[in-house]
Amino acid sequence: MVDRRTVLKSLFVASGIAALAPFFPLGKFLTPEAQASYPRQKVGNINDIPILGQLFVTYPKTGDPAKDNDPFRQFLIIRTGENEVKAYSRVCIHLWCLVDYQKDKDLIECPCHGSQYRKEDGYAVAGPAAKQPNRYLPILKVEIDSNGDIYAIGIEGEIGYGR
Amino acid sequence: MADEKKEAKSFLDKIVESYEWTIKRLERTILFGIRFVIPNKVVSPHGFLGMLTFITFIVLGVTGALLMFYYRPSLTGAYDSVKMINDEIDFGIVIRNIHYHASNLMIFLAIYHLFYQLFSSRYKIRNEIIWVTGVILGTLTIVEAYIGYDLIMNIRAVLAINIGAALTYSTPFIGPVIADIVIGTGFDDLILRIYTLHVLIFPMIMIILFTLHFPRNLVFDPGMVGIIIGALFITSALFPVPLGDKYTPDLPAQVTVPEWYINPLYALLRTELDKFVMGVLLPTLFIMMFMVVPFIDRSKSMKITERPLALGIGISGVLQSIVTTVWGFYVDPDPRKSYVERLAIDPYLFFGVLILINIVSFGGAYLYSKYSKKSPTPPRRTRSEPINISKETIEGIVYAMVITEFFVVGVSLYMYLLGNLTFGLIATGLSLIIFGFISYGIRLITTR
Ligand code: FES
Repeated sequence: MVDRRTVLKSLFVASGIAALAPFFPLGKFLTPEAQASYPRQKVGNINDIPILGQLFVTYPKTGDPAKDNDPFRQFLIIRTGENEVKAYSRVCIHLWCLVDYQKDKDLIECPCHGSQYRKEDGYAVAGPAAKQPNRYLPILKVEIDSNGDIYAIGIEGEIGYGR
Repeated sequence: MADEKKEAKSFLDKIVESYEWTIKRLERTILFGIRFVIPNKVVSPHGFLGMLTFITFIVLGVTGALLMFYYRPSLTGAYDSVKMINDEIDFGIVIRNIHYHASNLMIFLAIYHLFYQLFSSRYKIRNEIIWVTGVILGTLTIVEAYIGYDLIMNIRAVLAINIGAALTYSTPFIGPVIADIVIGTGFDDLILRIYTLHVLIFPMIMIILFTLHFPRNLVFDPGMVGIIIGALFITSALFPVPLGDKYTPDLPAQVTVPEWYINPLYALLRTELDKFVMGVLLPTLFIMMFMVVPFIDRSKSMKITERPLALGIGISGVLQSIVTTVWGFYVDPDPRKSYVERLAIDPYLFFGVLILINIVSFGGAYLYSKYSKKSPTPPRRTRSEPINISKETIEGIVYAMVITEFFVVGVSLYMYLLGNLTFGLIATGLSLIIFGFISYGIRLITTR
C-alpha cells in the first residue's frame, strides 16, 4: 500500500539521478591519458644500437619542444640481443630523476640516489626505488620490423609510479 | 549671505540624501545580511583570528592575481617566469615575498584559530556546522599552499609533486583516477592543471565554504588588521624567499625538506612504512579527530577543564603537530651515510613518541579535570583596570603617532623612489602598524 505521492516522489528522485548519468563519460575530458592516442611511431633502428648499448627516445613525439622535453616522454631502449630490445621509461620511480643503463654494472641506474634496476624486467633491486610499492619501471611497448626499424606502440604502467 | 548658506546646506543635504539612498538599496543585497561589528574597545585578537585569517586570504588573492600577470604555467616557462618576477620585474620580488609569507601566515592563523576555538569550546553553541567547515577550510588552505609552491618547479617543488603523486596513486580506488586527472599526460599538463586548481578551483571552493563558515556577526578590527599586515610586510622584507635550483631531471642528490606545514606528513613517510597508511590514512584520521569533537563531546559545561575529552584532543593535537613538524626538519647530517639512510626515521622511536604523547595528553587531561573538579571554582577574574593614563597624555601620543606615520610613509615612498625595496617595504609595514596603534589610541580616548 504505497501511496501515490511516495511513488511520484521516488520517481522524481530516480529520474533526477538518471539525468546525471550521462555526465560521467564526460569525465574523459579530464583524463587525456585514458584515451591518449599512443600512435605507432618509429623511434629508431636496432642496427644503430650496439649489443648492450642504449638509445634514448622521445615518445609520443609531437614536434613541440616544450612537450618533447617532458621527462614523462623520455624512454630508454637497450639492445639485449640480435633482434631483441628492452625499453623502459627513464623516469625513476623514486623521485623522478632520469635513469640510464650502465654497461659495466649491467644495471639501469639512477644518478640521483643510486637506485638500480634489472635490465631484464626493470625491477628495482637496490636503492630507494626498491622500497616503493611498485618496483618495476614502466615499459615502452615496441615492435621491430624486418628492416630493424623500432616502432613504439604504447606504454605499460604509470610513468613515475611503476607497474 | 543667507541664500548662500541655504545653498551650501542643500548641497550637503544632497550628499547625505544620496548616501542614505545608496544604503537603503544596499540593504536589499546580501552584503547587509552580515553584520560587521567594529569593536569600540581594545579587545584581544583571539576573538577574531578567523577574520584575520580571511584578511590574509584577501592579501593572497590580490598578490596572487598580480603574479598571474607574469607566471607561465608550463614545463619550460614556470621556473624561468618566477625567476623573472624575482629578478627583473619592478616590485616583483615584493609581491612574491608577500604572497609567500602570507601563505605561511594564513596557515598559522588558521591553526591558531582552530585551537583557540577548541579550548574555548565555541563549537558548543549551535556552531557544529561552522566547526566542520572550518576544519575542511583549514585542510584546503594547506593543500592550496602546497600546490602553490609546487608551481615554482624548483627541486623542492618536484620533490613535493612526486610525494603528492605517489600518495595519490597509493590511495585505493579513487587515487589513480585523481592522479590521471591531475597529471594528464606528463609535466606540461600537470603544471597547467595544478595552476588551474591553485588560482581558480581551490579559491572558489574556499569562498563557497566561507558562506557556511562565517558567522552572521563579524568582528572587524581595523587596528589589528593594520598591525598584522604591517608585520607581514616587514617579515616579507626581512626574509626574502629563495628561488631554489631549477628542476632538471639529471640533478644529483640533494636533501631538501618541504615547507613546514607538510613536514608532519614528510616525517610520517620517512618511517618507510606503507605509503598509503602513513601519508593518507593517518593524516586523515588526525583531521577527523578534530572534525568529530563537537559530536563526541556532549558535556554541558563550557569550561575546557571540565571536558577531559576535548582537552585531551586539544593537547595531543598541539603536541603531535609540533613534534612531527620539528622531526620532519631533522635530517641526519652524517655525510658518510647515503641519502636514504640519512632520511630514514626509526618507526619504533617515532610512533613510540607519538603514542606516549597521546597517553600523556589524554591521561593528563582526565586527571586534571578530575582534580580541578574537587577544588572550588576560583573566583572570576575581575576586569583588569584600564591603563591609568590621562586622556590628554593618550591624545598627545596619538598626535605623535600620526606625525610619525606620515613621516614613515614619506620614508617608504622615498625608498621606493631610490629603488630600495627592502627598506621601502619595511617602512610600509611600519606605517601600517602605527596606523593600527593610532586606531587603538583613539579607541582608548573615546571609551573613557
Ligand atoms: S630519483 Fe632515482 S633514486 Fe631517487
